[in-house]
Amino acid sequence: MPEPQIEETSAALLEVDDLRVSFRTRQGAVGAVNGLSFSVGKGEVLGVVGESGSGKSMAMYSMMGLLADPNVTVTGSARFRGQELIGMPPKRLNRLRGNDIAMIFQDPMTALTPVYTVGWQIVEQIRTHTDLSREDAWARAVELLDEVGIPDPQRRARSYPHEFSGGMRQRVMIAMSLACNPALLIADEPTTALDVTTQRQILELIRKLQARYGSSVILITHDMGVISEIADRVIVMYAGRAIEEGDRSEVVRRPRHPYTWGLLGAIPRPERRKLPLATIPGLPPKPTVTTVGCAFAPRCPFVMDKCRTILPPLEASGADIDHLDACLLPGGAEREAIRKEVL
Amino acid sequence: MTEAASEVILRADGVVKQFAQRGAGRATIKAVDGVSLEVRKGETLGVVGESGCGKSTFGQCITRLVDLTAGTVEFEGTDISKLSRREMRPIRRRMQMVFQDPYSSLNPRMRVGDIVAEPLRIHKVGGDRAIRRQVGDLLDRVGFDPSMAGRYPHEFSGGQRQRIGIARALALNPSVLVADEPVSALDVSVQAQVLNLLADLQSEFGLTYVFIAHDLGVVEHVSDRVAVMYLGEIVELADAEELYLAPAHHYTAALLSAIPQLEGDELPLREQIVLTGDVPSPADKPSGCAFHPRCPAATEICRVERPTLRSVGEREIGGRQVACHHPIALPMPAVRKQ
Repeated sequence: MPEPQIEETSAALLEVDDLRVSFRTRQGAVGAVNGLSFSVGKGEVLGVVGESGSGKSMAMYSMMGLLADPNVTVTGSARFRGQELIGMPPKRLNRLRGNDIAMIFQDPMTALTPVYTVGWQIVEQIRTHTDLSREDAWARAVELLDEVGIPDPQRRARSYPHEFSGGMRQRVMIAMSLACNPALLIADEPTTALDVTTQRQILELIRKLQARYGSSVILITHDMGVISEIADRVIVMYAGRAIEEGDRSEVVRRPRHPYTWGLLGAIPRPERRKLPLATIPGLPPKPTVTTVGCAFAPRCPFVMDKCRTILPPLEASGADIDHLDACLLPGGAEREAIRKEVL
Repeated sequence: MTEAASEVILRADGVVKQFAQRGAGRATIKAVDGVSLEVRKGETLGVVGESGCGKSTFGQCITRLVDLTAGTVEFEGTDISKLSRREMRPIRRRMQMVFQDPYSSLNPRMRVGDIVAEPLRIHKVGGDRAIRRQVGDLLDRVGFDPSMAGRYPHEFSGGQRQRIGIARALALNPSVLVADEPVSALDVSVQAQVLNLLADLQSEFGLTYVFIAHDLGVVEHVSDRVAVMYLGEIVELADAEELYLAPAHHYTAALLSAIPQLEGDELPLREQIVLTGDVPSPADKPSGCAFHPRCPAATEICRVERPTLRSVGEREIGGRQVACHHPIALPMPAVRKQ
């Protein structure tokens, strides 16, 4: 049926297709993102999980035009509300950034200017993208600080970033990103530098604001626990590719890719106290080495001969057609049985 | 194991570490504010808390990397709190440290073999050949081919470097290893490798660990007992399993409820406690119980009187200790595994 399909594509806010990012280095071309495709629906929280070097941040930076370096090549397509972001002229992209798409980073200290008050920085953000007067923009800035839970926002708007704690700075960043009510918020490890009780506060805040404004969120993290708390859908990345994708509960409870098994098995769990943790042998592949076949094959306990020659496509292998994985192991119940041996 | 009977290898008593603040009229910060605890031979004692709680400074106090402002540290029966650097040398052979950042804790200009051999050379343990053989054994023990000894740290990944740091710490055959955030810079799959290695080494060499970390999941996993710190003080000290099943201090409860949980994990039902505000600065420590401004159960007494760490629960010795005027009632004595 063609009709519902059209509806589905129009519901997607962001559609990424075969995104590739490579760096020119002295050792030759290095692929950071090697053909990533995904979409984000309206009001959806998409969790992107992967270890260092999996390409999760690079993929987002490349879409946002933040990798403006002659040694970086970005190909593929990323359509936001139907507009192609890859290759968009910087001026147009600038208007989109902040206005429709906002981004928050792991380290809020480096993302804020130390020499201006936070109020000033939010006002600048508002005035760049709207025609509010300086006074109105200031009032809005105070309102935003209040909304993200900064006590005494009138006074705090006149403070400098160094006068805030890490958690409070991340709140300021969120206030800033919300200034123009963006349709899409990309949060790159927003809680990684924070203590666990502060992380809890920030996650609650993102969830609350997402519900209020109906924005879509891409949350990049290495922490499966964080994903499990906040994401609707999850993409697991390895070596610049998505190797598993599906509903949060599906991926967390019934993961289908051996790498995801390893990731989940490596997390200490209360009921397995003092028992050895599952580990993934070896190390992630060096981006300088191009692999034929599955990039996880050298570390995979279930590797078969064909894994070294065939690049497994990302497709459904079980009953849930929205749960995709890139693995050549037999699908269906057989895969479940293999998983239960290890996880 | 009857815990009360097992030998105490390290005892901290009223440890205080005060730092002078720069400028600002010679104000001082008590990073560690009267910490007393015992570490028993062969156990893993976890020390957990958020940034600024003093857990790392406490680790530096018990290893005498810093001088104590007050209090004593007794190691294998000797009071080491006032020993000079020279007098500390033989002690250091028995008590080693593993650090958080495997990128800055290894000298980038030294070969891995020399890094691991350095403690042996400093303490003049054996001749060149014996040392080389021992370095090979150590590298092998932490999962490297001895031929890797000629390489430099930059040729290794974070997890591999941490294993090199562990090999160096083990070189002198210590009895206690104080590990300060040994896995927090590592990816989760690599973190698991290092945690498993530490567990293997512990049972192989009968090591005692003081494991300092902010990650409650990791601390629970590795520890026999856990001390929870807040603003320089221990607020709760208990058997790891008991602590995680039923915290007695309101801060511990909040900390536990803040851990992001994997869906489908079978955990005790936990009320979501979202703390408001930030941890106050140790320079501006609240009166009475330091946690009272954020505590849901705080009353007048909490504002004025600092609670002492006292035993609660069914066991007098080796049982749970909590520093709270209104501790959370513990459930009926848990059925303990034999």
